Amino acid sequence: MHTELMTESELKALVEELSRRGVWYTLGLSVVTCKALNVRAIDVNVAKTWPNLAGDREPMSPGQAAKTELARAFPGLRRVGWRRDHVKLFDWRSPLYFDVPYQGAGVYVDLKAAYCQIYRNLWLDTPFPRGFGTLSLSPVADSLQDWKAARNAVMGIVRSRTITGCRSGKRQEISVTNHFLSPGLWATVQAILHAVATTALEHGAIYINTDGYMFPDYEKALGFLDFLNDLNLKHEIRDSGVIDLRGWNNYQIGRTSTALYRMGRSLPNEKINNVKTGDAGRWLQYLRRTHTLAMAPAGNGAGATKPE
Amino acid sequence: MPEEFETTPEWIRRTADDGTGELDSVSGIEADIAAQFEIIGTVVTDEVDLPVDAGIRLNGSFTNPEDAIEYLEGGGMIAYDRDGSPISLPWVYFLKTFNDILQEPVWQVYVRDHSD
Repeated sequence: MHTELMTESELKALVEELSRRGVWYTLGLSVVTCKALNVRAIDVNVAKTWPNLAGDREPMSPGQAAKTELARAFPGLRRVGWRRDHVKLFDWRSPLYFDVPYQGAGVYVDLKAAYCQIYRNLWLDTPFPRGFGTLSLSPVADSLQDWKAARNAVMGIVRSRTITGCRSGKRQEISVTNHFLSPGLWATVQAILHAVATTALEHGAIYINTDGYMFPDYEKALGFLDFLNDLNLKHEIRDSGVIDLRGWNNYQIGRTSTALYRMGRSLPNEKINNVKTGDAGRWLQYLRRTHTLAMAPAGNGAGATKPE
Repeated sequence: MPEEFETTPEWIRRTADDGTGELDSVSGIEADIAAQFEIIGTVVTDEVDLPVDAGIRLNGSFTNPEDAIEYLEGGGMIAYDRDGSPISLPWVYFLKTFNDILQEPVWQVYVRDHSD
């Protein structure tokens, strides 16, 4: 397959040309692949040269690089080992919370590289709930840690069951085999984020979006920051100062504002709260254990055991 | 292979799962090791002793047996009778071990290869 780097407008022109010719192509995030023409076109703005499995550097999209690192870490892997009924674990969604508008002082706390720092201590075959697997993801996290889009793409790959096929302007979702599919890992990462979100709410958070937490005053935020430090969860204060929280994804804090806020749109401020609070304590305990295991030389949860 | 690995669950783990996630046949398991696969909670197996010719795969390890049961339920690996009682599954095995790093017991769940 020949790889071409293209600008956004060149990619658009390519898609139009492929549609006009009536040939099949697949549409990924910033990638267009056409087997008939033996070409893969990547948006030049997201591509990086990355070592393939043979060690030769070639232009790759974030998704390709993530898949390459998974293949490098688990050579010959044909299946992760979950069962069909586990598919429902893909229904887990990231924690979201908004209750009422707020104006006043406050602070916004972010987990740094949230997905990556969580899956670094987990396994591709993480059993749900709160299990330890055998296929450690720490080499994958280490390889991709400096490329944000690629390290986040790992979480997209473990839940990706279809690709978008296109022909003559018509799109079709096509099921594909994905050796790295892992409902247990996906749900575990989300469950941990929900446990952290639950703790943020206990400390008075007024807004939560996945790995970002807004607090109405420093005192409340400090308690949450202590909690993050205690769990070795790396974080940063993204911004602080005057908050104007108008609705979901519609706020300004300090110098940071969302696109919706900047557009001055006033949408219905509906309450959102999907935070699963039930098992938070057990998930946080599990998070500590995975951290302990990762710090050990063996690094794998099932290792270093002996009969009782 | 070091001799000490050949008679420990660690040896079973290493042999049963070669890191590729594939099922491998395990043979010649020492009877006393096989007998350590035990029944926990309400999840039971018809064969308490692991047959020496069993092909097994480590499906996960848990510090809480209830989590192991929830995992099996989530994967449809536990069947229940009409009265709600669990039906024995002859292909799920549990091995209680002690994790040196966590300094607490860990329940390892193994599944026989012919169950897939």
